Amino acid sequence: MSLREEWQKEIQQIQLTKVQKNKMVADVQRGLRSNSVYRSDSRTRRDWRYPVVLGSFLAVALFFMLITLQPDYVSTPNIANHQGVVADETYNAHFYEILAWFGAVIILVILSIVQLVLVIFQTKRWDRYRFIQNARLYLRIQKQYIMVHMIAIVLGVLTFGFWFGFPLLYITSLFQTGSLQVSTMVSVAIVTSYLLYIHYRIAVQIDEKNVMKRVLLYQLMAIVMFTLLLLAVTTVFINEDPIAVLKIWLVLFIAANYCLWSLWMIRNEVRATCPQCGHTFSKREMLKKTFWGYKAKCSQCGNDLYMTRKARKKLDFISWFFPGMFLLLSNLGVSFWFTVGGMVVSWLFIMFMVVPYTMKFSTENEPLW
Amino acid sequence: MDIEQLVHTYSDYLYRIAFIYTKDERAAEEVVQDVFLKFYQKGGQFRGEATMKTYLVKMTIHRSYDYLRSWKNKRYILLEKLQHVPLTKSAETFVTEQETRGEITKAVLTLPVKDREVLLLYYYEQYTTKEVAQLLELPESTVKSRLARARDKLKSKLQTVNKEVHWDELT
Repeated sequence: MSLREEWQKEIQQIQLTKVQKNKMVADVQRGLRSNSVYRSDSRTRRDWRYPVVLGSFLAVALFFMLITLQPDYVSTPNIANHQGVVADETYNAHFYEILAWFGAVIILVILSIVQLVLVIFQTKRWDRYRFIQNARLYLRIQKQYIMVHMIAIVLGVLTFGFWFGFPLLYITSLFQTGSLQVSTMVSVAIVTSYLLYIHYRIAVQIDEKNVMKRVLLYQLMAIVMFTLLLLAVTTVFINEDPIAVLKIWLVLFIAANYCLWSLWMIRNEVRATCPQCGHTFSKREMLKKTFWGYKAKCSQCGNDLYMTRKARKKLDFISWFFPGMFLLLSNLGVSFWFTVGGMVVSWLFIMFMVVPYTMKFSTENEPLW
Repeated sequence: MDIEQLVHTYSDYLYRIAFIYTKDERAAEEVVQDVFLKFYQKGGQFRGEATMKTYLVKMTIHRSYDYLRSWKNKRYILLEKLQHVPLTKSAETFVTEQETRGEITKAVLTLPVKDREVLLLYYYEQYTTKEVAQLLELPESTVKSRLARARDKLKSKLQTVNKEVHWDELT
């Protein structure tokens, strides 16, 4: 007997019984699926449950990793009391550590300002808002004065140096008023008048009718920002442990950068529409859909909608970036609760401000790869 | 053709195909049931370009692949490797199944799915290489090379169990 015949004879024995066939007919007629050994339908196979369960599992795993990686705080022995030389070295090392952290924060601040400006200019869906239009104009005019700003900064630095050198320090000490107080007052006066002047020029260009109102607004804004900056710097340097404060600032600015970066990622996006009936979903509807995973229903035509592959990838890219970042932070010894706080704040921001714009729907459930 | 007639005509045939793919009788039964259900619900999509048999075979192949890709199957494979006993059936059924299966079927089942499918379609279903290529959506040359490789593998498998076959069949 040939192999083919023999195999056919063998394989013929593999067959369904009559009972199985009858049951199959009945089940098919009743529209019953097989008992879920697997999900054969491509639509259900790529159900939202897999990504959600897997995602939650990964999130929990990352959370525990974060806890385990949290280094123990070891109190450094106070060796400064014993040896003056060692104390000096410790002081120097400490100083450079502060400087490094300070530098990192400054870089993040600059980065977030750049991102903020980019977001304001490039987010297309904000074009119609008056506030954004004014902000863009404000920034453009500020750009015109970039040289004036540079000169002001250089002059400020020179004044600062001159102050502590000669001759006002000498004069003020003669009057016993205290050089620090006077210098602070004078510098505040200079900065305020400079800001007043610049903002007057900007206000005239933006809104000629309400110049004074606008000048006051900008002035208030500038003073608030200046005060915050001053407070930030002073809290760092008057605190007993400046590094701890700097680390808090670091977490805050990393969270800010992350939020701004995700906003920049969705700069060209508009709110999703239904591909069937063209209905634009409201923000509230989008928020609801966020919690329903990859499958949704159009509130107008009632059709099943699925997130497109591109949208899913974008969302995954945005949402998986930050746990890693905060994991890194916990490795650097940043306070655990601040790290978690930063994560929660960024997560809320992403959930309410970014996710509604990353979602795009199609009627087909596209495979992820 | 109504569904009852369809099931009685093609179910065994499709069941064998699904079994060669899934290597599991229960899964094969469910694959076949799903194929019929899908056909019952969306029978209107059948345009009559191919024969009913070919259409159903193709659906069975797709469903079988769905099963092979499913997480459940992957989990079973992993656990089976760890425990050396299939989880979808009792040990008793497993032994009985093993005994009733012939040597050639057993040897075919040890091959990878790519080799199994070409052997099944070419030798058992007696499709031509061109038809196999169309069914699997592959170039004909790929089918031929897979067939040659599968034949070699099967030959060596059957030699190890001292199975006497007409080797000219496997050329």
